[in-house]
Amino acid sequence: MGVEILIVDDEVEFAEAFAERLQLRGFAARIASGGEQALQMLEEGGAKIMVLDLKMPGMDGLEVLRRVKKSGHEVEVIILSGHGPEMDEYCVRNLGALTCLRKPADIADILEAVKRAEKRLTRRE
Amino acid sequence: MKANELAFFGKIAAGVTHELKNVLAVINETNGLTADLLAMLEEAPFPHREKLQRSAKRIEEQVRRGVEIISRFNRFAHSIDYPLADVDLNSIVTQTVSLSHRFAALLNVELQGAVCDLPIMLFTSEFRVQMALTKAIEAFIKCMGGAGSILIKVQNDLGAPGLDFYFGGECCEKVAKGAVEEFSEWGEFEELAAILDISHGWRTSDGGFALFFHKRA
Repeated sequence: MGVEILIVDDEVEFAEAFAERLQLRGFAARIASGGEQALQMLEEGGAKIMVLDLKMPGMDGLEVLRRVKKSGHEVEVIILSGHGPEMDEYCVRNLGALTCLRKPADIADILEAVKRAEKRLTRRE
Repeated sequence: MKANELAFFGKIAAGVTHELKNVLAVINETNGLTADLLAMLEEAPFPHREKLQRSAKRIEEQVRRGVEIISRFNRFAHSIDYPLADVDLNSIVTQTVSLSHRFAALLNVELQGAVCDLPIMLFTSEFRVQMALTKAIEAFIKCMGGAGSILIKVQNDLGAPGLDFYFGGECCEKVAKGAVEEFSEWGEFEELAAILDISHGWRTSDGGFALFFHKRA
């Protein structure tokens, strides 16, 4: 089984289909439908890569990203959201996200980002 | 319409486009899962496989088309956010052509844009420039009154950034100075051009139309 990926998205139908596609490709994919749940699941351990939506009710993606990076978790974060490009630089440079992708994204682009995340994780080990 | 009313419209429209993108994301991912499963069953005998694969491909293409349209509309909705801003003339033309494409096609006019490789920054109201261009395009199309084509070419060689309009097709000769003035859209274009400090005129060489922007970023 490949690296564990945590999908954080309040659009449950999207997250479920996306998780199944990742599972078909050998990844262990789990779903969190909100920011609080994502942080809790991260505390439980396992996930090395997080695919994070930005606009969610309650704790939004930006806040999740801030808290993840502040907590020192060694998790690579890929932003996958319907937002415009204006947030990309801020998320990557200021908040430490690996990259930003636009929804709906091509699975090939997501897998490419996952590959980059895996490389960074390997370098860190 | 007041500025705050326009801003309200823009905010709601931007929110709706975000929701629509989420809908398309769910369709895209669900369809992708179907396509994945079909690919996995490639070796197994499967009735109507080709039809299912074709359907999945078509859904994928239409999702891409939908995303493109929604993204353009989202950008248009956000163009109301700031009364004045730095904006690339190339992206205004791409945006306007894309948004007006369907109106033109319904009247048998093909609308095309040709942009420069480098950005041409203006300090202007993106929303109003789009409206001015659209009004001019509408007047040209009405003037043609039949099949034709309009090419809008961005240029930056003549001192001020500008746009050259080229008219083609069997009805292109009908587009001329006196003729467009008969349409109310032309009056609206001229009014906006004056507000935005855009000068304009007709080329004697080929009967085309040109306009120049004087508010560089």
